[in-house]
Amino acid sequence: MKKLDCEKIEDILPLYLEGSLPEREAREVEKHLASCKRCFSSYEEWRRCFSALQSVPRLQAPATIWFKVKRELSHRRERKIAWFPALASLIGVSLVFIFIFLNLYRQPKSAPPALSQQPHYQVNLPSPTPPGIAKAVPVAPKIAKTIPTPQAKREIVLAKKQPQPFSPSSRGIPASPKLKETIVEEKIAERLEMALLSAQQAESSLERAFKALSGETGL
Amino acid sequence: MEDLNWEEIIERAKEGEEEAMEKIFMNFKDMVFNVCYRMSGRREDAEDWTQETFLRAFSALKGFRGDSSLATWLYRIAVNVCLSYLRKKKTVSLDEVEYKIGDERDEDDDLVEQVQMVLGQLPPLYRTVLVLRHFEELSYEEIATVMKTSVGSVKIALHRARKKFKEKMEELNK
Repeated sequence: MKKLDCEKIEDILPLYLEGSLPEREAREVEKHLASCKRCFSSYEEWRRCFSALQSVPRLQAPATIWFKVKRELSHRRERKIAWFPALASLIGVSLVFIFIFLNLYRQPKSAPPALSQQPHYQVNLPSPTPPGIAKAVPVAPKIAKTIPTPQAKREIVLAKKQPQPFSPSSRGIPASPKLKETIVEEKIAERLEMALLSAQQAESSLERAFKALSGETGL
Repeated sequence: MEDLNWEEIIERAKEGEEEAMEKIFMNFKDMVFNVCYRMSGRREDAEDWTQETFLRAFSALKGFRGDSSLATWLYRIAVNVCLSYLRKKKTVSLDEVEYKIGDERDEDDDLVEQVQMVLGQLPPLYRTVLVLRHFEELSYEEIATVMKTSVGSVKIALHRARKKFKEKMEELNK
């Protein structure tokens, strides 16, 4: 092995001190240190550093950290559970609205022909419902059938569908464009009201389901 | 120490069993706390970082496949937590270093304080290798696993870290 120079010694002194040098190389270092004052003083410096690092005592962690960890873990679990019913309600309400709006867009297209098909000269016999609204009547009970609404609210909605005493069409007067618009608007308002009721019901049933679920899991 | 079947404890902790999690915490809390304390230099930070380490560990426990030991895996999380906090923080000043406050001080206390202060002035990566090698007494291979690097890189980093540490200690004692 080549004789080690001071620069090389300086580099491998930490390895010598931690005992990770091969034995033959360690002997070479010892020989060099015995004959070189400069390297020996460097060795002393390194030794002080190593003993300083070794002097640091180990500490005990406070056991209270566990309670903080436990509390935070249960908070995280709760947060994870909490967003589920919110998401379910959101999806439910969104589906109801999508259904309603799809119906609304379909309905105005079919409603006007019902009015326009009637010739202007024709004298309409007094009918219990205006012709435009008559077509819409089966739709509302359909929704009411699939999603039952409270009796009182249903009565309000149905009352709006009753013929108006001074309705122009009920007296056989031809429906003007303005009247058509009014009728369509009324229908939209009805659908919106029904949609709102359906959404409220969907939300309350989801809430009940969540409460039942919470009761089961004991949360 | 009681003879624990770690595979079983880890499986139970993965399923969310609190008792198993507590066992893991109690067994490794000092190890994690010491790494955090030597990296931060402040007891308060060390407590917060230890808490964060275990929270991260329990959240990610399902992904622990046992390729390395649980201790190595926890060391890695602890080091990542420390490094992420240290990136946001500057070096530790002498005022921040806490050690045996209120106790009677002797030469050893001063030396420990010096070590902690010098560590605080080193770049976080140098601090990490020094802590893992000199305080935790991990092998080069273990340090490489914890730091997800090669043994060669660990040797280079450790050599530079020691040289820097020695320089700073000499400056302090001039």
